[in-house]
Amino acid sequence: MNALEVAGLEKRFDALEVLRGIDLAVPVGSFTALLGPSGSGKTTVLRILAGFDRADRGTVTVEGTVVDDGQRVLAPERRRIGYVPQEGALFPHMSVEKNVGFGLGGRRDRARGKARVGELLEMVGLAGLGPRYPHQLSGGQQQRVALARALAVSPGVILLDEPFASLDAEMRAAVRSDVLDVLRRAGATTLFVTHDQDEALSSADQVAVLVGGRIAQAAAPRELYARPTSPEVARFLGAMNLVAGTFEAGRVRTDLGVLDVERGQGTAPPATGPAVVLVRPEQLEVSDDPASAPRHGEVVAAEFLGHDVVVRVRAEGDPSAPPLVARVAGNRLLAVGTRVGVRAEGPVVAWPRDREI
Amino acid sequence: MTTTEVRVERIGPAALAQRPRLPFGLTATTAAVVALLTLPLVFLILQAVQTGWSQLRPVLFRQFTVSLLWNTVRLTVVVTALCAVIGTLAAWLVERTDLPGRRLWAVLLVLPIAVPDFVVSFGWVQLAPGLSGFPGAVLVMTFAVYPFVYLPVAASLRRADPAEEEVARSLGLGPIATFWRVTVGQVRLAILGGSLIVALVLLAEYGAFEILRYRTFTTEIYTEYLNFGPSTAGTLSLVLVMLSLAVLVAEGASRGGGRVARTAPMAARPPVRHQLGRGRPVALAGCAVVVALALGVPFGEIVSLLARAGRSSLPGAASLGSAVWHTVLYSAPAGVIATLAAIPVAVLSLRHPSRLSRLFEKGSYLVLGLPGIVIALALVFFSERYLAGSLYQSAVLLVVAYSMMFFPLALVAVRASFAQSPVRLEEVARSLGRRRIEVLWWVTLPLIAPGLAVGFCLVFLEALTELTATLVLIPPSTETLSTQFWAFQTNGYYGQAALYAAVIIGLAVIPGYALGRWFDRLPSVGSTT
Repeated sequence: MNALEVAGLEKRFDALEVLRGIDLAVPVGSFTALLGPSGSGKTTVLRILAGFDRADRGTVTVEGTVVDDGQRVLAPERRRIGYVPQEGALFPHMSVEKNVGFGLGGRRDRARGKARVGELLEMVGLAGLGPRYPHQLSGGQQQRVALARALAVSPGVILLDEPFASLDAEMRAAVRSDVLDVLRRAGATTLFVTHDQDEALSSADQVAVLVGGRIAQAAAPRELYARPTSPEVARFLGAMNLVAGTFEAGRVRTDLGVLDVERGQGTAPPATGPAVVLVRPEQLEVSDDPASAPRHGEVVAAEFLGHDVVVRVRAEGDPSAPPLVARVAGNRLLAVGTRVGVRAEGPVVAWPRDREI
Repeated sequence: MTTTEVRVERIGPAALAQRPRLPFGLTATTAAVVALLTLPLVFLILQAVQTGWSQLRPVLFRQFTVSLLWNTVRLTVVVTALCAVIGTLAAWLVERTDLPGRRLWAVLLVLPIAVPDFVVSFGWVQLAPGLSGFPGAVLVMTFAVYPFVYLPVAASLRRADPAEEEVARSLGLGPIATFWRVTVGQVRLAILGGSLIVALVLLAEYGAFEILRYRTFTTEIYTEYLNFGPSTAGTLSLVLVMLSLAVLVAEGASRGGGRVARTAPMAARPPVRHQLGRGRPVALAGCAVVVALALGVPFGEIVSLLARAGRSSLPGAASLGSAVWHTVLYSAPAGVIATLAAIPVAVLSLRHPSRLSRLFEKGSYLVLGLPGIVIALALVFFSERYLAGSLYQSAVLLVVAYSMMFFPLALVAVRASFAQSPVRLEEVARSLGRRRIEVLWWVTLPLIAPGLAVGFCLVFLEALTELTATLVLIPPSTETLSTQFWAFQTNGYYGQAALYAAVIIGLAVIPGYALGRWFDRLPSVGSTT
């Protein structure tokens, strides 16, 4: 069962079409990342889900209840959706305890409310900080209080808006793993927004890539990385080479060699026609002997990363194309300016090319 | 595609999200408030139409009107400019330098807001009987109203990001260049907002100019009303409306598209205080001079008048209790009403920004530039027409008049606090299962409560010292502190006038002090988000 379902969500701000039909399902108990470049409308999606904004068209369903069908909307307070904005947004005039207990109603059952607040504070590792005020906490602590506050009312889904973006790099990893841990222990269904592909791939069960106002692909991180369904998704997921090719009876011919095509999701590659081919950096073989390889070029950059080296090779005869990115063993000495040969190894992911890449 | 989309996130969904629809109830309430505020304008227009152009023309196009115009305009321009400079410098000294005793200065520099303008000018004329005309008016008014600039600028300086100044210094700007190009830029909107209030208050000032024998539109409107009835007074008022409009348009135009954006929401760093070093005695002397001129002179003169009058001021004291009671009775409800009425207008303009809500907000400022007499006459006119005159010279009408006249001051304060209370907090509160009204009660109101108190104080302070509307609308055989002061002052019983002035100040000092404290404690950004 899905805790959250979104179908055909559209939203425009005046002349600007931001969302053009979002479809997304978040299974109960999952940790889903909504990944997209900045400005892709991720926050708009969250705000519509939370009920701060209305959809122009489409439906949002929380735990089987339609909360927005493009015409009628359910008020935010009746949706059972927890929301943790970027900076936490703690109520500055309330102590940590009061913040966490805010959604509990308080008056009816004070003792139990208090116990629940204590429990939550312990869960986020802030036991004893109840009487403090938000401005007396660090950024990471504020974030965790905001999380406890959202969890207090046991929402059906928790939305996190770039939850770690405002933290510095060192704290970020620590806070992220804390938060993840808390959410998993609470068994909370979570949808979080991020523009950081590493963050999405490393921490989510499901990653939904938002490009051009649509969910281009939603899949488990491994699946997404191994079999992106479009060049846009592939490009957004990181340093990869997209090269032109031609389908040839189940294989694909490129400047880097004739390669096997990976058969994901049961679809056979077309027998013929132009192709866009994804060659991962680790699939490129760089040799010191240019003559033996199908493509020659010159090393224009080499980034030493310890156990391997990422080299960029500018191919000969095609100076305007982006350099090819290859990942080679760390003990290889490939200085900038070295002439090298490049060859690819299959199987690769390839799509029919119906437009420019 | 990508370039346009990037803009959306930067403007922030909160700003755009609400734009498509204005909530009906809120818009209707705001429209009703604004409609009420434009009644005086409607009254003036109706009257002008009735009078007819042939009658209007000789009043408008005569040498005397031109000289009034010149008097009013040059005074407004010069005093507003002086107030902007003094208010900004004083605020900068208190908020951003290591000025010794800055807590004391913070209170002393605000306190003149509690001293009625006519008391300041009364004190000055006692001290220097020759003081009159343009120089006198500039001197007195500058020191009577500069706190209207000081207060918002100090608050704004407190909230501004100190890192911007540091960046400027690191980019090679000296301290003075940094002050001009960065600090003044940060508080530009506060300076403009304060100057707007100053200019409008100057346009509507009566008592101080009357004492100084300086003729402006407002003093002349009252004289015309007393001598020739409402019709020529109304005609002159139309010119004053034009001037107010011009002030509003000028302020709007210089506002421009600039906005203050904070890029580091979590930075909770207090501002760095500049070392005054050798400039310290100069800065101290400057503050002392301002306080001496604004507070020392009126206080000193009142005390010396009281001492000289001794027992002879007793006859005036007989009606003191009743005057205090009536003053509070009329001013306090006006403070409450104006503040409550400002809430919907502020919410609409901040939470649902649109052309319409901006128009509402701006339109409501117009009333501040109108002399009390015009508002009083308008209320009399409409109550006679539609309520059969039943409210004429009743407490209700007087309270309504005060509420209308000083509504813009309440709006300024309420709006500032709403702007401080982030909309995101309200959203989070709702996502936690609380209804709109609960959120208002538990989250928004506690956060803006100080602003509501300030709105009340400002309106109360001004209503306390209102003269012309009070003289027209006051219920028969009652007196307020200001009407009593005025009666004694006009008839030359200065000792007894001083007694009333002292009581007015005594009554005004508490809210005035509260104002200073509020601005002094205004939370820095770090603790509000």
